Amino acid sequence: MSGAGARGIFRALRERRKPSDQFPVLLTSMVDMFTLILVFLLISYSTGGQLMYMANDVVMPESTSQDQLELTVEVAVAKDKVYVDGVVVMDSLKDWYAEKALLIPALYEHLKLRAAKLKKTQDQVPLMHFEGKATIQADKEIPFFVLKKILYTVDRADFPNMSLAVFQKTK
Amino acid sequence: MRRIRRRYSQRSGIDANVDLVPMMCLLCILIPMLLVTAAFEQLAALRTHLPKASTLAGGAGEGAPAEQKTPTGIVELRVAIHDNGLRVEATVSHTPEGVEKEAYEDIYYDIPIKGQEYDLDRLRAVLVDLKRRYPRHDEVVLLVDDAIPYDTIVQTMDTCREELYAEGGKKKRTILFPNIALSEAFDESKGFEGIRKGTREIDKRLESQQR
Repeated sequence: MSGAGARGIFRALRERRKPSDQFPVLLTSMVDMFTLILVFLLISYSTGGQLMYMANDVVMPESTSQDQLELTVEVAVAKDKVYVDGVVVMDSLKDWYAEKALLIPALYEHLKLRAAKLKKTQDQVPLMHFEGKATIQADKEIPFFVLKKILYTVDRADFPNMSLAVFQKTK
Repeated sequence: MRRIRRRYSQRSGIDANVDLVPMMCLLCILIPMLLVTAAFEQLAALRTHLPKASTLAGGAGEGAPAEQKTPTGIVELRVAIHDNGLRVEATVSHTPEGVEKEAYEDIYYDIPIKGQEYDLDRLRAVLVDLKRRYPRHDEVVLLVDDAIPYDTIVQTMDTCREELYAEGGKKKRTILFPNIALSEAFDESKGFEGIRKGTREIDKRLESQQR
């Protein structure tokens, strides 16, 4: 091999090794992954449902019920707090544990005022009907002697049509 | 494939690579939006109410008197949840064939606790049998002891409401007693322990505030 020929080969190799200005990023595998995630999310996407104020310290029980939640007044009962539409109404529920009276005045007052407002709105808005519906979300460890006071108070405050909010069982 | 594409692009001078950047942009917007709005826990509602005045024996509940209904054969169906087990009580006015009985008859089923858990399978079997004999009845009153946790109440309500079973590889459900009222368990000799405090004072105060 002549010296000129060898030099030519070396030059060609050097040119080949020279880094290019453009670095093509291979997006194909990423697009594959994203497409899979997109398909999974679209399958599990639910257009129905109802937005709820979820209290942090409330773990609701699971049920086989498939009834949809409705837009109503929401009463959340944690171990020591009671919320109405996300607002803390009582922060010392444990004080009521020993009390024999079924009615909880603080909660009753709040709900009664809410019922009065809704009834007033009903008079002004012809399409709105106040049906006395309330949704109760309670912690699954709450004993019945607490729950019955809540149910009784909600019922007396003009909300006799109650629904218990639960997580749907997946199995 | 890549070699063919390279050869084609070298020959024609056209870039044969598919531009994936716009698709990536679309996916980068769609996926976070779907992730934020995705509901991984589905919520549901369990309808309930307090018992009406005539639902419980002795006028234990409150509210308007029950409407006149055509007899279903069962006057009252109660499921009591006690610390030591479950008890199904049915006051029957008719035979399953529809013949009126001379006097009401009470039927009891005691279902003792099995280990640490309530025997809900046996409760389901009892209720399915009652529903088969009295298909038009749809009401049940749950009488719950004070210490029973809410989770147990919901599981018992599920058992009272419907029967889930698999048939031919498909899940099926039969409605049993969907009209469920929640009440405290009571001892007739002791009467009620809870005091039904009046609301008149609070109502008057709220009315004056609203004015």
